[in-house]
Amino acid sequence: MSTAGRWAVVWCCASLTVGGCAIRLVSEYDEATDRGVTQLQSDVASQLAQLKDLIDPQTGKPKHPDCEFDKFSGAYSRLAASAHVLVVRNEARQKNTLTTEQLKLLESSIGEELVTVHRESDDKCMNAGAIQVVSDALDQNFRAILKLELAKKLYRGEG
Amino acid sequence: MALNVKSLAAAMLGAAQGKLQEHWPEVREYAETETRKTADTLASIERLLLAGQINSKQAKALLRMQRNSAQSVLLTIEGLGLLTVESAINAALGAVRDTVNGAVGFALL
Repeated sequence: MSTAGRWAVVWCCASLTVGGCAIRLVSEYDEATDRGVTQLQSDVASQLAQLKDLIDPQTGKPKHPDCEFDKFSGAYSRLAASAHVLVVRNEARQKNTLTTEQLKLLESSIGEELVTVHRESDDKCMNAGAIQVVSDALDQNFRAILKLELAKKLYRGEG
Repeated sequence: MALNVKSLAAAMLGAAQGKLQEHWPEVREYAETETRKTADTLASIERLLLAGQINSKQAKALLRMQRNSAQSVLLTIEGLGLLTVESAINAALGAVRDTVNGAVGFALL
């Protein structure tokens, strides 16, 4: 191999990574994020289950005043704060734009859209249909975040 | 020892293709499943609005929430694509590691 050829290979390799040639196009798997997102999903599911429990099975209508927005606004703030903690942690990780953006979308869905759906209801309560749509939409977001985080481990043969 | 570019390329291509074929069906299945779920949710929002079970402000917020989720799914698909490319590149480099390291005389790869 010519000297120029050797240096071309060295340059090529060094440009991919320093120390070995396993390149990384996205961040490493982060167990704290995995656990944090799973915990947040559990907390959100629990909150939505509480709302579902307030639907009267006979009439299908939410029970007042327990179903009203004011009774849940504090819980929504805490859920949004948990999402924000995950955003900040993930902003500090290298090559992690995708997960950070996903968490910002989740924070917006919880802290803004969920709050709006509940607060803007004509009777200040969410009905069963609205709760189901919220649950489906948020589950999809959680699933997307976890799918990518776990893939960082599985695609690299670490899981 | 002179490296044989043709055989190196063949080994790298074979290893890369293996990784692409391994991961692509999973990405496609995920994309198809989530696209169906997005369509279901959009249909539910329309149904609730038409039935008067939600008002327009709620419908708009639910649509924004669903849009966020759909965007998150696309980000996952982008990430899975990058991870697939990453594993294909690493497999390609791994396939020629011994040959290249032997030729340059030190552990380059």
